[in-house]
Amino acid sequence: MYAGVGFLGEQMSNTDEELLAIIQSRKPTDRVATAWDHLIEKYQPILLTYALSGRFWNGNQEAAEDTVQNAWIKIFNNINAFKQTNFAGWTYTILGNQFIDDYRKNKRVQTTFKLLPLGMQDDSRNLDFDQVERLMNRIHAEPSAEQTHLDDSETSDTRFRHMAQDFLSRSKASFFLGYQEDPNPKEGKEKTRFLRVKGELISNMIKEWVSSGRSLDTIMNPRQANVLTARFSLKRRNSEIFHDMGITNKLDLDDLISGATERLIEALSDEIPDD
Amino acid sequence: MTARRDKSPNTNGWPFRDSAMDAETTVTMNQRMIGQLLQREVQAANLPAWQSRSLIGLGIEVAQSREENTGLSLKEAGKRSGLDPAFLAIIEAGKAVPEEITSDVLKALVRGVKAKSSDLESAMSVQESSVIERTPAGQIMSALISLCQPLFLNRATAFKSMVAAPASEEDEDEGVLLDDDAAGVSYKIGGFVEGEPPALIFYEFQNPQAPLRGWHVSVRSGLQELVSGVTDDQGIFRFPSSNQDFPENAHMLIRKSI
Repeated sequence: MYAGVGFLGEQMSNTDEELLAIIQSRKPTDRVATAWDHLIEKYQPILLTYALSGRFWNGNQEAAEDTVQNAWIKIFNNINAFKQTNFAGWTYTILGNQFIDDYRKNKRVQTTFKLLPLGMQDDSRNLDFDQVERLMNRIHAEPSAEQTHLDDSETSDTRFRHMAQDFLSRSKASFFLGYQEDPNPKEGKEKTRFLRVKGELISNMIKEWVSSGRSLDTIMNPRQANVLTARFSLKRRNSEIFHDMGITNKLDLDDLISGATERLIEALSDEIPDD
Repeated sequence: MTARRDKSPNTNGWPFRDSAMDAETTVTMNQRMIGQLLQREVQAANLPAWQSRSLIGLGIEVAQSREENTGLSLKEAGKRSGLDPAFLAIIEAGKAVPEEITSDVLKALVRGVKAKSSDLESAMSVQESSVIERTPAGQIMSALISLCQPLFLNRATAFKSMVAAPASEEDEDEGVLLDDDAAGVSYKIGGFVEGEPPALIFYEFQNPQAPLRGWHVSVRSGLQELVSGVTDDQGIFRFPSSNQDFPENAHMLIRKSI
């Protein structure tokens, strides 16, 4: 029960069910708008608190506000499909999904290079997180003296070290490593630099995979392989990929890219022997 | 609770921000955003597919630019661009409406998310032709023709090379009919000779004996009309003399005059 001022103007309480009934009836327009106002007034503080919690953005106010704002658009888009009784639970689910989307894009890299925060692992993805961490450690490892001159017969393991060497030779690599240790993503320029490094690393991973004559199609579906190649090898813009591949909505594009990236990391990490 | 009307500090200013937004709460901002989505619900549902795709493409480009070029939050990007952060979220979600994508808004986006103007235009480009309206008997009444699809670009390049080079007996490109299956019309490329601007000659599909006379033509880039006119008695639409080439990322809406 929401004990605010009623949408009819007098002091009264509106339950979620009452507000939703008006919204889903889609008329009259002014009452629908007012019902939305009530819902937002009630749930915005709750959703924002949730988004700010350690489970999600852990105090990052701007990221949390963005996630809640985007979640409201999803709630709006899907409100007519809502048939359950627990509106609050439904909004939390949407917020959680929105967080994963934003986290993948914004926090960008930690989805790729670190692990999703506790409790946010998606069951649909079967990444072995220990292996992923080992892969990342391997990539970030300083090459030893004897590994600095390697010939073509180098093993997959040493090629990773070569890649790491490549990275570490660049000035931004220090930032890359520093960023990883930061529990909160930094905003602004640092974030954009980090995203660039992420793109380069994924591009190197693709090269690593295909260098032995292997096709990306063997570890992901052809559509994912096409998207990954276009995005990170050919450096195509997301909007170009959207048009070229006839993708129907933005979320499908995000899913294709993140799913393909995860498949690649998973496959490469499988090649790393256990420590 | 404040009435919705009072929550739009500058209703006439949408989609631009004003200083009153500095102090507003996220509740107010999200209420304004949902209010805007409500107002456009019917219009958005009735947008033709090609316009929806343009708007989604633009949203993807803006989101990527904001992330990768600025790393700014919606609120920060709103401040930098001078746009309402509620509008930025709407545009990134692909839910803007065509009237909102003015040249001023595009300039603000270029400034705010450090997007390249050409990338925004390319994101909104229509890459595929399509039939928009047919009569019950199947006759084409209006169609959309992409000028950035490979079919057109390849033929236009070949045509321009041909008219630029000395004529030879092998040159038989002039007058080649392009059958745009998806649009349900055929056309030839013309112009470019002796300083003439480019031109297109429209015909019924696969029928060079049936020019489309008196059809209204609107040449657009993204959601903006660049030039418009009517085909002449031979089905020819000539670009203005200021056009030395076909515009980039463009498409044409052609409609039979009633």
